[in-house]
Amino acid sequence: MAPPPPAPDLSSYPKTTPPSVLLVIIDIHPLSWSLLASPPPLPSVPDQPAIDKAHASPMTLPDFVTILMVFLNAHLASRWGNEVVVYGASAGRAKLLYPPPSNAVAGPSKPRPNTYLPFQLLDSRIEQGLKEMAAEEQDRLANGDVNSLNQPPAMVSALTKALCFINRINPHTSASAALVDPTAAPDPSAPSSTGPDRPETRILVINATPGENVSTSSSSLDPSQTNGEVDGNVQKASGGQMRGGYVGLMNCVFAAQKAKVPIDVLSLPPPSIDASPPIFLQQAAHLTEGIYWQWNGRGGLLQYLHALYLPPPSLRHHPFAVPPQDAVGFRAVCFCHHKTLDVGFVCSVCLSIFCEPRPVCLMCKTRFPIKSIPTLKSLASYIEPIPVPDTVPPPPIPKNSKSQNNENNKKDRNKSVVNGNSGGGRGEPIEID
Amino acid sequence: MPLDLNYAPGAADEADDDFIDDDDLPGPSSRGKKGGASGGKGGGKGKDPGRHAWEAEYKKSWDIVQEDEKGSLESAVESLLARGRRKRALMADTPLRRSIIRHMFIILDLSDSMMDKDYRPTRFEVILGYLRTYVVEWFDQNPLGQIGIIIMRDRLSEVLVPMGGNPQEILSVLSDKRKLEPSGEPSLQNGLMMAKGGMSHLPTTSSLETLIIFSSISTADPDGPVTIHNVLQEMVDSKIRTNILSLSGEIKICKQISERTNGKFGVALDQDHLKDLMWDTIPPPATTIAPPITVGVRNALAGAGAGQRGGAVGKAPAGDLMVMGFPIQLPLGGETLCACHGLLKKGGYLCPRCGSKLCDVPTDCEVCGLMVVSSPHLARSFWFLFPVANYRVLAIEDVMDSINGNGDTCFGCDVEFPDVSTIEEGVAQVEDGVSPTGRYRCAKCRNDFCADCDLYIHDTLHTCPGCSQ
Repeated sequence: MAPPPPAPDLSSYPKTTPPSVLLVIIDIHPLSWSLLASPPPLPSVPDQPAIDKAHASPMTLPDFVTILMVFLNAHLASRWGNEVVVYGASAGRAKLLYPPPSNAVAGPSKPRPNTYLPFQLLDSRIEQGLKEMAAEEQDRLANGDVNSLNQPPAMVSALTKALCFINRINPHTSASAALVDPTAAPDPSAPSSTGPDRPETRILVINATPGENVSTSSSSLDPSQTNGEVDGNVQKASGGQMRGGYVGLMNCVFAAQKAKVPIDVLSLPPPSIDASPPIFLQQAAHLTEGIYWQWNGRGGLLQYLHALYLPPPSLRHHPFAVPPQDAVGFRAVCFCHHKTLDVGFVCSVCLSIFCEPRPVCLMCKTRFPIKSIPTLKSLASYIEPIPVPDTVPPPPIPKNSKSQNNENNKKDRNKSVVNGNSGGGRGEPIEID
Repeated sequence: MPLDLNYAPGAADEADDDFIDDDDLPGPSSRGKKGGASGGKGGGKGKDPGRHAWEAEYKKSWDIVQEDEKGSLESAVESLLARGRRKRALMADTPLRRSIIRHMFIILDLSDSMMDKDYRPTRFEVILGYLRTYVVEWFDQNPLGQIGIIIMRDRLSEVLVPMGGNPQEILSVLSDKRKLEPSGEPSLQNGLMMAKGGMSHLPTTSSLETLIIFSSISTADPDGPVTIHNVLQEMVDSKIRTNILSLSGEIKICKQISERTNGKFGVALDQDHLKDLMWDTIPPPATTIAPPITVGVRNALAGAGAGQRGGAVGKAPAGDLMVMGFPIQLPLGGETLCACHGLLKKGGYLCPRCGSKLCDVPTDCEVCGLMVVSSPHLARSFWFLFPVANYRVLAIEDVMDSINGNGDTCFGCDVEFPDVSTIEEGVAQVEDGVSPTGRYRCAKCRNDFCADCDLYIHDTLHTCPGCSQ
């Protein structure tokens, strides 16, 4: 990203953008929101007084939905033909909240004269859908189905639904492409294969669950899935969970890449709740060229949503700017214990990932040579994770720059090299903690 | 000259049958006629025993597509979809063992015959167009694989693109048509020699393959003590799987080469068939009864030692565990020195074991020797390991029985299903794998999907929305 020139070349800006469809996946896991509603106190940032002055703001689901509705209304208002699709992902299940199925479209009972009707439809329907989902959760709790409440939010299911939806409205990406003559297809010189009226689609994932939520939590909850049972029928015992977790998310990412759909991620749990970012959602955003952003827990969510996520993908880089993206850990999850790994053991035949050397591959039943196991074990003992450097360049601060640099150098050896001046080049408007 | 009709196939074929065991490789290679069936027409052609293919009436592809009584093409499209559905049902029980690290040479015949105009505009143009999409698709499904391209023309062979893992490089070479002008005759022997030489240094854990796109009907091989049969034997010995696609007709030596090296041989009937045949070679091949000799060359790199197991070990294990590291990608911040070139570069990857910065993955870490791959590379192949259950076609009575269980909308895209009561009795039976009710039910999670989602989920997404929640 070059810094914006002083006199921007207007001719290079797109004259018009296609209408855009925004698919929002909102994590409404009750446990996560109870955490967000009462966050631990934030550490103070003495060297950045502007940030330090902002107070920690608890965020409840109703507050957030209000903010989200303003954002969605803004999206609807910003261009004629824009559309919104909202999915809710709760513990272990995902559901379409908006638009309602056509047979149920009754509209609000009483159109308010002072409100633009689509806004009112959207707001009332989302509210209604959320209430339905909340009632279902309450039923589950009343039925004593506590175990299912402990499941991670069904992000993958919601993502697959969203991708199926995109496939329905933009069907060129999949099966129909196979029927089309490929000699006609590859034409890189014509970037405008998306015509002016083919809608742009993007997915915005609003994550509220702390931790690497995608698949890791399953092993701790369900002890029967661990070592003893996996060897015989790994597909049956943990296949569903695996597919619903890391593998499923990765499949979604590849499908989104093919369909050229960016997956934007807004992660709500501030660093004070959860030090480790949701790395798999971060990977998803990185691989699909979406925006990943972690809220710092100090309010301003509406402004963040508007500043970061409102521009459609075609305008994102050119007139606007995207926030600098943090370092992405390309870690993986092992198939045996669902641990997140830096270094793992990979079967050379089927490429399954394991966290420890084993004599037989769980997936393809290949026998590994016994001789190499001691070597591998000794290698495994060397593996300890290296500290991940905090690599986002700090915002340019005119004063006190010396003391701040010292602080950063202490944190990490790599930082001093990385934090040169690249952040300034992007001209990012937002300060990063 | 080169077709070598006198080469005695009978005894040799019998002797080699234990090596050739490609029963699990579906394809046009006509394995039905072993031994003496030296004549015969190409794979899939000889359905009418009394007539040769060229004597039959020419079937125009557009005649096959029939409009239904309302004049719409919907039924034709649906039967096309159903064909894919049936094919997938065959695929469902594919073996888990697939060679995922692949090395492939595409040997392209650039003889004069490539300028023939039986494919429009020319064979050359058609093949180039297909190859470009082929390469992209191939790398999509085999992210750890490498492709090189060899061209045969003027009786010489020439490495156009050395073995590499960058599709962009291959695409840029393929887009330059001036360098690819067809001329002269091809030499199959030279092409195979070149491919074999180019793969001799490669680790044998990976699957070594060649894909020959052969347009000519003859091969002009060098005179001398080494014949193409010697080369063939060497290919067999070094376990290089050779797939041959002929554009003109079945050629004895080509068929022999592909059968003895465990590959497939196919004759393209028309453009669509050509594409089908090419695309058949994209999914990783199943490792067969005689797996390639696997020694831990690559994991010896990571293991730092333990490399005493040479290629001479006859009974090598079929696989091995490799230590791999998953790096951290640095943002495009300031410039830092990389460990691999010693240059100042932006971005890069950090080795998770030693923390040195590498320019690109997958690679072996320069400092600690760890194989550093990015996990999405591995994850691309996971759908082989966790296939989506096939969806069952729902007939009307099934829907009637369970109408309360599932909603009225597709579980994937939330489109509404047609109302069961409005469906006419006439079309009520399940035909060709197309559901009269428009519903397809996942066997595992028992949710209903529409036809579009069924296709999309099985072909692209590889994750069932119902099973993943």
